Amino acid sequence: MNILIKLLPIILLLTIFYLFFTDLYPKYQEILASVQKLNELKNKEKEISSTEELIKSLENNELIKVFSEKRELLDVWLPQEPKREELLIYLGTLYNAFSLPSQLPAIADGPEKRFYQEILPIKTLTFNLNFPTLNNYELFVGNLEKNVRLMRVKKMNLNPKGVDLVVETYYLQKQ
Amino acid sequence: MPSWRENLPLGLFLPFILIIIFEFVVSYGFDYYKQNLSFKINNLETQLKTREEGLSSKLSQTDSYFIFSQVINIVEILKSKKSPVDVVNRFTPLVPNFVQVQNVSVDMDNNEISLDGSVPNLLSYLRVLNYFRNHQKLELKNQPSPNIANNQVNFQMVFSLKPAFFE
Repeated sequence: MNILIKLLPIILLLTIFYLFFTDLYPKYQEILASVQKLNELKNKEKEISSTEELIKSLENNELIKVFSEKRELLDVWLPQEPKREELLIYLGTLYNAFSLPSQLPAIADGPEKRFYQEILPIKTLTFNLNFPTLNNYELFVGNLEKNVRLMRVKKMNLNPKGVDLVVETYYLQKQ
Repeated sequence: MPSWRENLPLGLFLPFILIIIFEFVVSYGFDYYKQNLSFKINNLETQLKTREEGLSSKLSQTDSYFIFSQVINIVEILKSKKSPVDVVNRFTPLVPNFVQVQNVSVDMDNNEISLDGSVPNLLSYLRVLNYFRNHQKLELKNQPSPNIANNQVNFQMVFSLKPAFFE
């Protein structure tokens, strides 16, 4: 009995640590994770609310009505579909205009881009082009950049063998 | 024989016992709070799922939102468009005359330009390096070691374009 009494403080201390590490601390971690999840859901709620308000405010917006009348032009600048065939036809025409043999580049899907959380993201298409000389390449690139369908030359490599371009274009799909 | 109760130093054990009781109380409190949180999370998830579905169907039917997105995206694309030809035309006069340019690469996404060139000797290379290191419009990001071949020093340098570059 005396030995038990002497060992009791150690047993009680061990019990305290055992309860802390096997019960209290894991429960605390779970609570932290739940609080984090709740905060994420509250942020999502704010986003949804702000998009709902935006849609409501746009429904009677005069400027949107004006743009609505120019819908066809908007669809040319930023189409609702990839329109890869039309893109290839345009590139073929461009090469013919510069008396170059036509190239049919592979048009690959690029990453989605989202400028703001409240608007729909755009999808990108990228393709590589080669212009075989350093003469008139500025005109060629200028033509690409001024095309009615929005395009951007992302990368350009100039060397004595010619010019290599990586071009990006866009479309906006209705979701 | 003295009772074991009389031998038990309560003053020594009481704090431990109180701590253990406190831990049980806290554990119970945690369970209650966790249950509360789970209930709130489940409720909110269900609400948000319904609202999201409603919003999705509204978005697909609402033309005004699509047009709005189209216009804003067009504006942002136009704002971010910078011509690589303009970059090359601004860069070319900055390269010293004694450098023979072999390749120029422009990366508009990373706002970088890369120059592959050659100079007649190492001293000229050091002059070029020093010149670009202190440049107002270009920041030298990377310069692998040059190599000497055919009595020329061939090098590559990668620059970041500073805001002053476009002024």
